[in-house]
Amino acid sequence: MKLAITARVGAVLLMFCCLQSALPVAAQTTEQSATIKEIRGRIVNKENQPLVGVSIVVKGTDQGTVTDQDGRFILRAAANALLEISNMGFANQELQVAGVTGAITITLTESDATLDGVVVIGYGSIKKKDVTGAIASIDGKSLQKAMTSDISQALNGRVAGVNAIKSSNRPGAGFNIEIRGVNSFNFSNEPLYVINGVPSTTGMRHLNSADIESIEILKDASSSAIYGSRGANGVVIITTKGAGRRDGFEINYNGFAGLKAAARIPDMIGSKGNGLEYVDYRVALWTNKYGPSSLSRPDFLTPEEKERVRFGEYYDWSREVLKTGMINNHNISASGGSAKTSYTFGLGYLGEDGIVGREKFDRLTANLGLEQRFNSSIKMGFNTYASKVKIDEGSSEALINAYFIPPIVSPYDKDGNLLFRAQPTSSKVNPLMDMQNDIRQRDETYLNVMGYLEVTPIKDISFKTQVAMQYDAYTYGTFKGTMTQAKAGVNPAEAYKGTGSNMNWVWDNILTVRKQLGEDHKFHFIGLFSIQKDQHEAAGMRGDGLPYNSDWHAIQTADQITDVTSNYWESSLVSFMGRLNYTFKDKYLLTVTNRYDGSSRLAPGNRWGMMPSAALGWHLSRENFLQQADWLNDLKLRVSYGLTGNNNVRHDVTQTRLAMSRYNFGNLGINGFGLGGEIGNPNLKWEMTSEWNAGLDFSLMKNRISGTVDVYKRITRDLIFERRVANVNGYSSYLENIGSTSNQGVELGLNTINIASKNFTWRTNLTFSRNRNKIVDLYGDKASDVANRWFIGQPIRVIYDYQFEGIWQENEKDLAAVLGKAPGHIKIQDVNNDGNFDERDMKVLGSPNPDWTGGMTNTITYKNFDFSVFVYVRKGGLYNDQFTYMFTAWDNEHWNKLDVNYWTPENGSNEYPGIGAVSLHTQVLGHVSGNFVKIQNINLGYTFNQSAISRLKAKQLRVYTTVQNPFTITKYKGFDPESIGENPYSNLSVMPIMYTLGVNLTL
Amino acid sequence: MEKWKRPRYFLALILLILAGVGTGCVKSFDKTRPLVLTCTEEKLASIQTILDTARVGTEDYTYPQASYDQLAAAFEEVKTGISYARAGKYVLQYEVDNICVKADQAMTQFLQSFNFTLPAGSAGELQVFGLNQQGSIDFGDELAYSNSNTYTIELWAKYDENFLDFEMATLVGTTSEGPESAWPNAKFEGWNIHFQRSGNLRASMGCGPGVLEQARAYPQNFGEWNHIALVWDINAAIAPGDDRPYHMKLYVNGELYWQKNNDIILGGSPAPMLPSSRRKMRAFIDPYHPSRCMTGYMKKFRMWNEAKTPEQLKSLMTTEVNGTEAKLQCAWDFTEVPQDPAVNPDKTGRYNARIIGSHKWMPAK
Repeated sequence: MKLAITARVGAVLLMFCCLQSALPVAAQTTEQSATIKEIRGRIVNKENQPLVGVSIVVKGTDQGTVTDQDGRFILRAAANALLEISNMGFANQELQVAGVTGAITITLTESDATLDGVVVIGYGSIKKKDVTGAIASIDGKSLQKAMTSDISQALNGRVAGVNAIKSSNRPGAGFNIEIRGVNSFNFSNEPLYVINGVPSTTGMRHLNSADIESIEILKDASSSAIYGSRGANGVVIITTKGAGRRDGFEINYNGFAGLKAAARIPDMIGSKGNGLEYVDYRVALWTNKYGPSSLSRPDFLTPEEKERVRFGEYYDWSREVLKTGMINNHNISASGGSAKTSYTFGLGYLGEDGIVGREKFDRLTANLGLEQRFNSSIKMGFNTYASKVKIDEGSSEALINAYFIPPIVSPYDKDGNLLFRAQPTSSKVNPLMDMQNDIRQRDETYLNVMGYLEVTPIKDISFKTQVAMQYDAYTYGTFKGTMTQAKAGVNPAEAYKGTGSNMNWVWDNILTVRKQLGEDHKFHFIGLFSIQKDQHEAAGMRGDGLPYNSDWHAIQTADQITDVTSNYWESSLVSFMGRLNYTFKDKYLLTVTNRYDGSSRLAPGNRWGMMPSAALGWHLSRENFLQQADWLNDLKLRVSYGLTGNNNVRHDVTQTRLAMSRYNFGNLGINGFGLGGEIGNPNLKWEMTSEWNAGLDFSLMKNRISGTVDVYKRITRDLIFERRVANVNGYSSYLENIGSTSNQGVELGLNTINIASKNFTWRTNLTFSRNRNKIVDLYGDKASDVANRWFIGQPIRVIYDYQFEGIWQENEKDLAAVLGKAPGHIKIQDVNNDGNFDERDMKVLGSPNPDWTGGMTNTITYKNFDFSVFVYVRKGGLYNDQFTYMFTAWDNEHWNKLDVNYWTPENGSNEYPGIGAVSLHTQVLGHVSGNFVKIQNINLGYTFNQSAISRLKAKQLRVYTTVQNPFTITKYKGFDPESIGENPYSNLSVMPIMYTLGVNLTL
Repeated sequence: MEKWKRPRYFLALILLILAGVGTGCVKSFDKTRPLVLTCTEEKLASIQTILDTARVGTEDYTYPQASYDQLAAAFEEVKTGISYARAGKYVLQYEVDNICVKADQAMTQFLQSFNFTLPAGSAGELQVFGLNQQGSIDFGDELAYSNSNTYTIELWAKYDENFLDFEMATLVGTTSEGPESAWPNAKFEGWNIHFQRSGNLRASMGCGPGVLEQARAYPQNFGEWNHIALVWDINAAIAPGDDRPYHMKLYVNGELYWQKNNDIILGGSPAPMLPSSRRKMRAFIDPYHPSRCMTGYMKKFRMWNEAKTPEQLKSLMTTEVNGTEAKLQCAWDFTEVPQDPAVNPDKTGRYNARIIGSHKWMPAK
């Protein structure tokens, strides 16, 4: 372990040193330029007080500095450069370097807002100072710096209130995103994704972070109510880089290449060449479980295994199957424009190898945007985003088999050929052969096209009509050859092919009115009429007994074709929405929204739902009583309430489906149709969520400390619930609007400028989220449903089981015997003290929801260097982990186990039972804590001075190196505490550590 | 160049901090181990002593020549093993230990093999040497042995120390698994009373998708008879003071030893025990997993197609049956030496039990 960590630190050192050693040459070059001008100055507020941490950046580059404690700065820039000066709470300024002579003093005037930034809120945008709801933003730069292939992962710890749950570390594996917990039992809790205006449910895997302008997360009901019946789980608004440039032309290349390896490898007994340790374990297991005489059985150790022990020939299987993977990411974009026309174009490629077998993720992306401004009143344009994704998921069981097979087994025969049954005494086949013959591939195509026409007939009023389409299609193919675990080396090959597509059309008509009456009254009204139609189709078939290896491209040659399916469904939505933002004296804010949605998914009579919301904002810092508080730059209080719905229900929940059965009449097979297991309910109505949110935005100490705090309570009522009934009427369940859940929590976002001096700055961004999920009611009687593990007052997902209390020790032998236990057995709590262990002793032990999560980014700049570290923390949560359970609880006589502290009479371990103890209640070993601290990203960059790159005609050049997942602190015994609970037979994966070198060049 | 030292110090500091994050430990591996032959040398001496002192013959309390020859062969095996170990053919201690275990088994088997013959028809007690599947009682293959969901198994048994050397050892049972025995389609069938190496007396019911089990440490009164009764009643009612019915109960010497509610639910009701599809009922060996075997004594065995009450069980402990009792499915008394160990008719006249393999009839104590 120490060696591995030392090697890891060494690798980090080496990469950073390589980067550093290359830099002095470049820096020396910068000193030689004659066109460089040194600007010295001081920045103050209108009271002539120095402003600390003010950012001074050469426009169009990352080159810049910040002011020190005295408000002073020194910056070297090209004589023709333009400086951008910005500070939170103050209006931005620009300064032409050419016009500067001697030391200058710049006075910044306070602006109306902590941030003048613009926030996309759906069907428009507003200034951040006018926001009244809980909206989090993350910009494209931050996403790129996170260097995750799926943008979803970058949200963890960087956006408070968002929990992106990783299903696996295999390249291309999906994420489930939960915003402020889960509401629904039977249907999806995924938020609504709105990509360039098109509502989508396909996640973000296909998106390239280099193409993202910004992502806004609408968390509270007053914000997400603008999407009405689809807003209950929150809304993720993704805006790709569109055409907006009004002058000049720019090309940007951003790319990196790197290596991937395993970050954490669970240690098995006898791994790393310590084969005798495994033999000791097996002797103990067989002796304890089957008795000493069992060691004479011929299958205890085969002659070949004994030979290997004799010669010390051991195999570390978990490392045998791993390899070093490559990652390549290249993005090039061009944008330009004139007074009339703006355009943008981008191409991107990401190729990411897995580190087990064939695993691979390839993504090709392209975007194209154009805007034409005919005159000051009319403009039109389009934005297109296309993505092609190919995922090789790799073998289902190769990795898990590598953990089953012990080190005394060889993958090769005496001639060096791969064996299929490497361990004749076990059912587990050689993973090195399995991974060659178990193929799972997914091809996905995404196309997002949006076109608009915007007319501003008179001042303050504009009308925009926008047609958008998203099409996505997939082909999923699997091939399991004979020489796989699934086919055991004897059964013929099997293939499956499934295809599907979704087409989503939206026509939005948006009327925007912005009006200011006098000095005090500002109005911003949006009216919407929208129609949407989505179509879905899918088909699939499976072939058993393929004559030759044809992957899934010749299923017709199979002996038997099964699982032939095809389906189609569509749904539509019609919406009316109005939103009014009113500001009085720039102190008092009011937002009122109402959306009226009609969905075809519900039956006539229940299709239409009204979802209103309201929010108030109060800029306290602008009140007279706080005017004298110099330490306070901005303080805004927000309160909101709203209603949203959940449209993530099946399209046919109100209908009773006929189920098909096959009957045999003589030699004929006849299809028959009858009532299915579930009956539809035409009286179903929307699942409705109401939410209170209170928030505080603040900026203190000359903006050195700023942040946001939100508290909320969300209640979902009329949950569409599957009620089980006795199967006497021909069906066993039906859906009903019953039940209620709640989520309440607190979120914090904090940004600080810790040090700001001439050459050195240190900034910290911190997020914190805590959510409590509870079932309020299930069937209207406030009674729990033990069979389904749903308990009133507890989260929807809980671990309900026996309480692990340690291991029975030798000195407790007599008491253990009375309870039917023995030393070395698992001790569980006898909750009712009746001397029996049965389901009455089970209780809610915890929930796979974290107590809290947090993220911290520290960014340090020193002259042209920038260095950042991102740490992600998860505290609490209890998870059921199959991997831990299997490899600590199972006592299979031929398989391996995790190297943990198993009980022996001598060590008296209280953690894991004795080897071969044949203990009951072993499932409790699978309950693992979700705590971890991850240093997830370390980034070191160097931005060249303009003088150094002027010969390249470049505007900006930055080189950087990054390490992903270098350190994880956790007690979890598996691969990655962030993906606890992976399905070991299909998705088990290795957390990678990734070293990359990258370049960002702007011409 | 001088000013470039400062960023280097800065970087070095950061990297030192990073290096400090790592913690770990270095493992040292065993490569070879010396073998300890003390045990084998002791066994060699012990066997030599037995061989030197044993009386071989055909009279009572002498040892058969065949047994003597087997022990002598074991003696040679131990010598060969020591030679292998010294020559480096064995590299692991367990291989040496195996020699000792086998030597112990050979000595035990030899010492148990002394000649003693009780005439057929005389009173005696039956010891079945079931370890290593050497002996057992085969009650035949009958559906009736596991076809009821309301029954009582009642028997007298005793055992000495070291009566089992495997993970589990069946005292008597009908356990089986259906044709679809692979998980997750496993179909568990029949009943079983067994001992666990970990020290428990346990019973199990094969209720289709699950096995209902309950256990408690087995009585340590080695060499003394215990009356053991397993009562199964799928229709058990909730007794006064309880909050649930107890479908499975075990009594030892008339006292409730443990009880278990049937929490394997199918279609909303407690799952019934499934009849054994292989129909076998065996004692001292498991009918489905034959490696679960033991050495022990059995005096009486009865099966009733009703759930006996504690009072009835206490009464039965001191009552003989004649085979005509109501609800009595089968009953054997192994208290008299049979003419033929393969012919032991039960008292109802419906079934026959065969005593198979290694066993001995000794005068009843």
